[in-house]
Amino acid sequence: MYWLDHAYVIPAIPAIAFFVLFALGKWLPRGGDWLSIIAIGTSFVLFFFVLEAHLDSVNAGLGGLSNVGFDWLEFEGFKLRIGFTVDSIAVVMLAVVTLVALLVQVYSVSYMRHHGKPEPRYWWYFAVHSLFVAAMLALVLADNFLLLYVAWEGVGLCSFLLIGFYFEKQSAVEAAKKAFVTTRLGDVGLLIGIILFWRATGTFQISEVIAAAQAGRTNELAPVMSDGYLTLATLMVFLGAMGKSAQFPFHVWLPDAMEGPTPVSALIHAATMVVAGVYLVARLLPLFDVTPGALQVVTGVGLTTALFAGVLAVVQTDIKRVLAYSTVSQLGFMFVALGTGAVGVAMFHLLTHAFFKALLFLGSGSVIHMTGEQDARKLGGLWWRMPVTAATFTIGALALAGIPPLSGFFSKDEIFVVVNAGQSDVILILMGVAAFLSAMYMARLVIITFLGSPKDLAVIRRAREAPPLMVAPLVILAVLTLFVGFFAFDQVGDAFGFPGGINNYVYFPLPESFHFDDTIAAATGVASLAGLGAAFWLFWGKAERAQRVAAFAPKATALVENKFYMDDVYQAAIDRVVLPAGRAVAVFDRVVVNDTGINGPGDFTRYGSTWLRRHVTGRIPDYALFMVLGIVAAGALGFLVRV
Amino acid sequence: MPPLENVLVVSAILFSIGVYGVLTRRNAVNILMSVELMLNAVSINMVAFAVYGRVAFDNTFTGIIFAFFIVVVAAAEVALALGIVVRLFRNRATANVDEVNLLKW
Repeated sequence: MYWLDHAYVIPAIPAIAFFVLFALGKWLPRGGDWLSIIAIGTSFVLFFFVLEAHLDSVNAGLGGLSNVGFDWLEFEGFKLRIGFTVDSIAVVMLAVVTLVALLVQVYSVSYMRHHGKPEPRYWWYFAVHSLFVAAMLALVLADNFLLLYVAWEGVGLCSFLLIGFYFEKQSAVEAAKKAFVTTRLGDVGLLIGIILFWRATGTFQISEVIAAAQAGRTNELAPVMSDGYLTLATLMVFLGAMGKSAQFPFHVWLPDAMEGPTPVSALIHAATMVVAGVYLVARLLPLFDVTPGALQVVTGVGLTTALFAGVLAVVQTDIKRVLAYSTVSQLGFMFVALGTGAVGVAMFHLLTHAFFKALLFLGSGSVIHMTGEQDARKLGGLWWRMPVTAATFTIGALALAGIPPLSGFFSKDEIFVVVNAGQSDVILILMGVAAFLSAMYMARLVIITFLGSPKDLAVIRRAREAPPLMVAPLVILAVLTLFVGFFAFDQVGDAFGFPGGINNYVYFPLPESFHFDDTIAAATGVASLAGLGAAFWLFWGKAERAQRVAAFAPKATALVENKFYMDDVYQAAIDRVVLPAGRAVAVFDRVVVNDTGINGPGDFTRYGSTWLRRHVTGRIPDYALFMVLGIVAAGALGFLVRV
Repeated sequence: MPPLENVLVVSAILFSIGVYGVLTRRNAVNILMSVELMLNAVSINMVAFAVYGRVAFDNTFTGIIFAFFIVVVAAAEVALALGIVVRLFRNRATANVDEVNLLKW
């Protein structure tokens, strides 16, 4: 049980690595990349100890929950506590974060070099990476809202720093700013929610807030919050999740975030940071469960996002943008699962998605690094030049499309099973459409990038297989993608020491055994294959059919290619509303607060004194006159007072 | 004996003439002469009260003694003031107070 109580070591080690790298990174040999990798590697190894301790605790019937921490600051009615808790959700997240971060960092050693020479600020890249991992792990293990919020902002900061890593490029700077500001909007909601909960319950502890919400709704205690208050606070918290997980309408920052180095996109914007929102809702699911209307909102947002992003992914020409919209769409799938109340299914999809999405991003990074080209219209026919990259990429793409027996099939199938059981048929059909789209855009990407004939001969001549440090993570992730799916089965889970399949390990409110629904599986399989088929029909060869479809409906095509003009709408709103308001406030600040309020007394004193000192003329008759006048005035005053 | 008010009015007139002199004269010695005039007006005032109030205040001599003090103070003050004027004259070759205005802002 030692490691269950000391799980905080896992975030502590990368944090220490960050501080060392921050102070000394520039002078360490090789920029300190080995230090960062050793730190994350140690965290990964420690994860297994925590996992073992947790399983021992669960199998011994102790529930597997742990809670350690200390009070950092306490005064009347307010307590700042640094506490960590480990439960099955946290264990899944630890697995994802430590493993993917380790693979991405190893990959980065090769990616961030060109012909053996490291890029400028190489050491800073690994320093921020370490900080990010530390913050993400702290977020996952936090047991109170305040620590969670600090870590939440921490990962947002690291995302900003890494997106804007190539800050010589104006587009990267703009993208970093956009990411930070958009998620900031969501974070404000999260903060408001946290404060609302604190006002009602007096505590920041997540477990106590959940208990307070459940009071009067699932047990006999008196209710602490009214329904409206609870709904408001919960939806505010969900706003934070929406911002961080790039759900509609906050999705606009994720495609632009592709300006950052590709390993960053793989780690932060596919596997870890963007799932912070999913994790938050998963952890708070008992809270969402008792809040009227909350689960419906989650489902609605997830479904809208899944479809919206799926449609947009079909027309993107940049490899990374397709994957970015795909991530947004898959996160929508996870939120739909959460909205149906199925935590285990959502966390399972989070796990499988993390692996195959990281695989896809790293594979695209391999292509970009070796060809120097990101635009899919210039690629093609890379299969024979980069076979390992192409094969692993295809495995990831098929997993995302939901082809059995890959992991993506099982996790997506599970989502459909719970949606079928818990939601209306309309939602089920719309999810089917989203699944069809995900198969289609992934197949399109594979076709355009790897198959067919090359569209640019100079590019194809440059292409070679990537160096081993980049290929090894791809292979590892591909293997995981092939086999992790089987953790849905109870037998597989038992063999590894878990109490059963994923739904027996991560659950709310009761564990469930895995059962295979033939009809749903067949239906999703058909949708996936239909998507693949549609992609081949439209995009194989010279893609004339796709162009004809586009020409058939030019306005619709323009709408989709311009991302439904959402970026333009936001920019117009900023230009017309936010900036003028800012200017007005700036004028007020300058004129009223600064010139009048602060400079005013000073200026008044200066001018006043300049005027007043003129009475010191130096002439004796003047002084005599002042004396006489003063006495006359005193006398008159005395006369008046007496009378 | 004339009424008390008449004597007080005389004293007041003398005092006002003295004030006018202090404010108006240009020569420092003239100003000193006006100050003397003011002091003497006060003296008259004090003595008037002493004389006219002797019956009511039990043979008081306060006012008359005050006149003695005024004489002494006036003498001391003139000694000092004339000393300053002489110094000033030796320094600036003028006794005109309008021209002594270096100590200004």
